[in-house]
Amino acid sequence: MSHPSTDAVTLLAAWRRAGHLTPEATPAAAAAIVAAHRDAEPPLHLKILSAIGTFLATCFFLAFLGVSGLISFDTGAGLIGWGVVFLAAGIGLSFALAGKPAGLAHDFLAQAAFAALAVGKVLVVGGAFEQFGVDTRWVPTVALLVVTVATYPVSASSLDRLLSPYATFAAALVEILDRGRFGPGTGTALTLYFGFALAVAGGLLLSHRVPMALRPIGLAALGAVGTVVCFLASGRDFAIWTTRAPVDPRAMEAMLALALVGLVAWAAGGVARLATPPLAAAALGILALAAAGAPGIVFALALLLLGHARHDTPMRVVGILALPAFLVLWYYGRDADFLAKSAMLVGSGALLLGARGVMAALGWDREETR
Amino acid sequence: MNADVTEPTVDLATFRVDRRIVDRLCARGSISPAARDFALELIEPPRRWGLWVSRLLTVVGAALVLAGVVYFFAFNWEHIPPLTKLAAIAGLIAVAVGTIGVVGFGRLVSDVAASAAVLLVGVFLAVFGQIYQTGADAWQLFAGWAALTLAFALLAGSAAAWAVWLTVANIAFLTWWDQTHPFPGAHRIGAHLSIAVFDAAFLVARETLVARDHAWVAPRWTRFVLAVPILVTITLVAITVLDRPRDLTGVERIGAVAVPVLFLGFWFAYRRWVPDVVALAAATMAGLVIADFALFQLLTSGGRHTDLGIFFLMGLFTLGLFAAAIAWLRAVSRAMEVRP
Repeated sequence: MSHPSTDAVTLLAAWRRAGHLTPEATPAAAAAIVAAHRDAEPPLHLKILSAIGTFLATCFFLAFLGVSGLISFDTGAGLIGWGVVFLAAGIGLSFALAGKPAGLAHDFLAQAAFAALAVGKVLVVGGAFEQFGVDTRWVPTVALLVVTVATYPVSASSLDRLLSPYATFAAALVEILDRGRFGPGTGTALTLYFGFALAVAGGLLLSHRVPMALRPIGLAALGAVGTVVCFLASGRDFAIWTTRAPVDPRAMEAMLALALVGLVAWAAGGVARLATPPLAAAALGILALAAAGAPGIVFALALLLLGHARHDTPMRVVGILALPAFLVLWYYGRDADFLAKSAMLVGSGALLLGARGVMAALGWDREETR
Repeated sequence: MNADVTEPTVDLATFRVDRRIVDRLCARGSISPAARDFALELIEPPRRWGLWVSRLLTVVGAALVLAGVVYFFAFNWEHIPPLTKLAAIAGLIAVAVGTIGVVGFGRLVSDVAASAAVLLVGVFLAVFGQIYQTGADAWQLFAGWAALTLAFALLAGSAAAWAVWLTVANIAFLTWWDQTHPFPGAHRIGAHLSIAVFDAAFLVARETLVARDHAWVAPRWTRFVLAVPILVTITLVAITVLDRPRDLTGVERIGAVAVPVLFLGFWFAYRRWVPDVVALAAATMAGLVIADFALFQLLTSGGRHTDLGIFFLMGLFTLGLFAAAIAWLRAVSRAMEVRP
């Protein structure tokens, strides 16, 4: 196993030697470690396994409800009612989980709770559509927000806590873009949405004082930022298919670039560190990228930086995959012939290799920092 | 230290503390931010930001320059004489090989150069085929590409170059089955089975090399580059066989035997030989999807497609099966953590 860790005895002893822990406070710290261990989140591979199991089980239960005729899919109120019953069952099972020791019964209850919540959410959102009509504004967003708020505090699954807020963010984005009711104000609405998602992501993911239970909302907000960035990276006139008018992305690109500069400052240990030559050069590079209209590349770099700083392997992997994808999109989207693109590619590549040479010459590639 | 613990039955030495636990303690106010930073310094290696940025600049910079060269050829393609085209690609291959000669093996730059060289041989073959209209099938291009670069990939000692080579070899298998066995069904099983067995052989070779301290193949991702295609293909073989278990052809019979053998080998390898709970979880996931499909096929055989209970039963069975797998993997993970 390559996951970096140490054992509790070594850590407590080290804390005591360094003066971070008094002998009197040690039993409490040891008990806190044991407690934190008991309700620690499962690793990613178990979350994926759980998600696939829940998805399959949810499909079977929905098929059962559909085939059996127990629920009429034609009346919105009925669907919402049944959805509430499933949500209540899921919440009840989640409460029942709290007292169960780890083991097969615990995992079965957790899976059942996750599946019941998933079935309930699908039924409530589907019922809201039936009840209020597909064309009524904000129906899916409000329905998703309501079920998310109702289930988030009790949901035992961090995946549910991630997917539910992301679905709410995505529904709001569809409302802004696809349903096209903002008209000329679409750009402003999208910029406000983007700024809000960026602020939520930054606020919840960068502070270690934020309760761990709220981190999935931060990740969902980061996913919402990434979704908008995908649209931005696909072309400057990306919203023309819905609003019949191009959306100006410059405010969003500026926010994203400033967020990345802020992220660099956070990783370095404070805004004052931006005055040091390597970080000042990094900040200038980021601003140059923003000026070149490359929000996808800026976002991929932000993921890589955040993943590296937090030792978060999944985030790093997403960043590694996103970087070449956004690079291809950016160059593909330029309005230039192959010769001009070739010059741009070779020029920017040579610039990066030159920057690497400068780093090596100045010894910046040999620094170690926390 | 253990004597300080409030619960005397708890052995603190068995509790592993990682970043998530430390963050959780800090968020709950159980430790100070300074204690958190100290703990992270103890647990995790220092971040070498300078080296990280330097590597990022090398990889992205080299990729951009290479892409720029490709664009230049694309722009001038019609006007370049055939021999110049081939000479230019051969020149790029020589530059890539020369780079390895200058910087030596086992460095990031030589990894990038080795991967580029393997890719460029394929570009050379494609351009050669286009200029001289050789009439070769796609599988011949990929098979020739794999054969010509095999020795280089062996000598380069680069995991990245190996990954590129394996992708080419896998495509050669797929295209060979597609173009020489144009019968629906059987050729798909044959293609999937060939890839599974071929990649399994390389996975065994990879694990053997790692056990003999060959560092270049040791990065963990090299295991999953091989394991994921194996699991995907044997799952597809199993589902195809289960979909119509009667009147199996010869290839399908081989598939019906090979799938359980490969699964058992996989589970044994990553439970006993080289314990890896993530690889085990991936195999378990594939096994559960097959088990779910098998039961559904069993329950719906004989025209009982609309039986009410089947979907409900399947839902319960799926929950139970996945819950049992998660509980088992937790237990295995704990057992692996306390191994000396």
